[in-house]
Amino acid sequence: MGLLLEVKGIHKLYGKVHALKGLDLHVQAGEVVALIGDNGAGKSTLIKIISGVLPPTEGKIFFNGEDVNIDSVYTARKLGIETVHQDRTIIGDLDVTKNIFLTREETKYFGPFKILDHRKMREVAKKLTETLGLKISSPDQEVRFCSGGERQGIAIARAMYFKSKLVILDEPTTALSAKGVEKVLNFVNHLKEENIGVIYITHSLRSGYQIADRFVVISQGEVVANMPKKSITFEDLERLCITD
Amino acid sequence: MPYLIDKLASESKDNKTLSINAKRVGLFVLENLVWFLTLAIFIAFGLLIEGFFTPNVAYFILYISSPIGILVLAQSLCLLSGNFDLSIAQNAGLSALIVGLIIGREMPGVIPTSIAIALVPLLGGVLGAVNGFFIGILKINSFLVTLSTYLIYEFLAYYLLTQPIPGYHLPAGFLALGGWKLGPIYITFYAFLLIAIILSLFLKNTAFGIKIYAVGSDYEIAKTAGINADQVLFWVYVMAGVLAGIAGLAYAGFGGSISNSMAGGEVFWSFAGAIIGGVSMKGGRGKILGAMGGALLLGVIGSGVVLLDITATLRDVIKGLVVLAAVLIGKYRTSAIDRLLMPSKI
Repeated sequence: MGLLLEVKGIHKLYGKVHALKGLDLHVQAGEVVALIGDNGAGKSTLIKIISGVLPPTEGKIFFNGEDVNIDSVYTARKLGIETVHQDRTIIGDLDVTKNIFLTREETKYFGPFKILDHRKMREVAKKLTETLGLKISSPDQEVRFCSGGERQGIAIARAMYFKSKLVILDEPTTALSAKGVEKVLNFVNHLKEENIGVIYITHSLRSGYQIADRFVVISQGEVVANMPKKSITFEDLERLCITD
Repeated sequence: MPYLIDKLASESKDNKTLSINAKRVGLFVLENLVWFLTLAIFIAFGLLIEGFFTPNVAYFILYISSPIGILVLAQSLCLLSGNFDLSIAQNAGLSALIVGLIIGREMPGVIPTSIAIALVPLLGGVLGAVNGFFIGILKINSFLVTLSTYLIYEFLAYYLLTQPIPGYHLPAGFLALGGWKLGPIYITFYAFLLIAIILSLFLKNTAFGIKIYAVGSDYEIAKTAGINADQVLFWVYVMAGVLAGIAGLAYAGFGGSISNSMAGGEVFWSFAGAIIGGVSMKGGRGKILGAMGGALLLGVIGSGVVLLDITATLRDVIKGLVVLAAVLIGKYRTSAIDRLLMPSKI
């Protein structure tokens, strides 16, 4: 385990609204951090900053010990930060394979032309979906026919294949059936096994408690609690979140 | 298509009430609907018109399908990217007109024919780049932009040329693409076929092709994924413009002269062909093979109405009905395919 992500003194102002007030957060490699908080607590703002969607007003981000400027989603991806969201990262009309490889397609040379290596990508996609236990009938299936859990799985497959170092799961269990939630939790375990750091954003305490190594509770743009799982029971966590 | 079969095979195990074969046939028909429609309408005309089932009529169908076919392909490209181009036919007309004006009237004999021919698609690409600049880079709605360029290109053509330039004022080669034959078939058709093949391979086998589909399917997510969507749109319009230029050459050769309304009105047909061919109005979905079928269907209808003994105005009424039918077919085809493919369990 090593320190993977360190966010220091992040402030975010939307006009006069002070959404994040000097927030700190860190994630180790192979660690699952559950980010818990009500709507409007600042979770999404924080995640958008880490994944390159929004710039912070103030503060620093260190990734693998280096001071980084994450100015776009593309930059975040190049660093190895992948966001998983069932609707925001998957393109419905493209098939499973194309979604996994989008913008990072495998190519080969056909004479002077650089063309897509469909066979290779398809094989990788098939293997990945099988590893993750996704019951997708074929990697050629268009994603719009996949369920929410399967979409999460595809985004996670992408993170795994391209060796992401940090995966952000943004409310991954919203709109999922009990079975789908179980699937996602399974995926998270896969990521952990690969020594990938995970930020798991949720307001479902139960799934968060089940999977996380540490809990960070955010309220009104500040961290109000930061504790490892072993030092808190589910009941205490629940109480903490409700009273606040 | 193989995945459709996989999908059905896996579904059939837990859904015995639906006949897998019926579904399979249904999907095949829907996926290739345009070809069945073309065949059906071809047969219908054959029964109505004496002498319709002859090689000459078949060659004629291929001939008149081709100039519009190239425009259908150009329009399909724009539609796949989630936009469209109202100025596509005016672009075709204007690019051929400007070059034709230079070599046929203003300064005959100065520019070699081969260069003049190459200039037309180049000019088409420039006119397309104008659209691409406003739509891709300045992010202005494609309806507004191409409506404006439609008007500009249309009236610029009227302004530049009042009297048509007859074919004998032009170097013969300039009209070859639309007027010469190779064997019994006009060269335009080979050009159309070649463009369709190249475009199809390009969309399927290059990273840029996937980007076009991705941007057309969901602009925002494509951007989030790191695709330079604005640049993709710019180049889509440039490519469509180049194709429009080639179509312009075909129209000039087809008419045997340069006039100010060479491809006038063809924009509606370019939409009709693409949509009947299964290219989605919403972007991100559709195949070049389908668009080709759409163009051929237009050719069949076009030759049928010409050979039927009806007045020209009634022909236009029939054209309008065809466009309406295209929209309806496009709508029901997509939802029917989705219904057949939707997993029966989640």
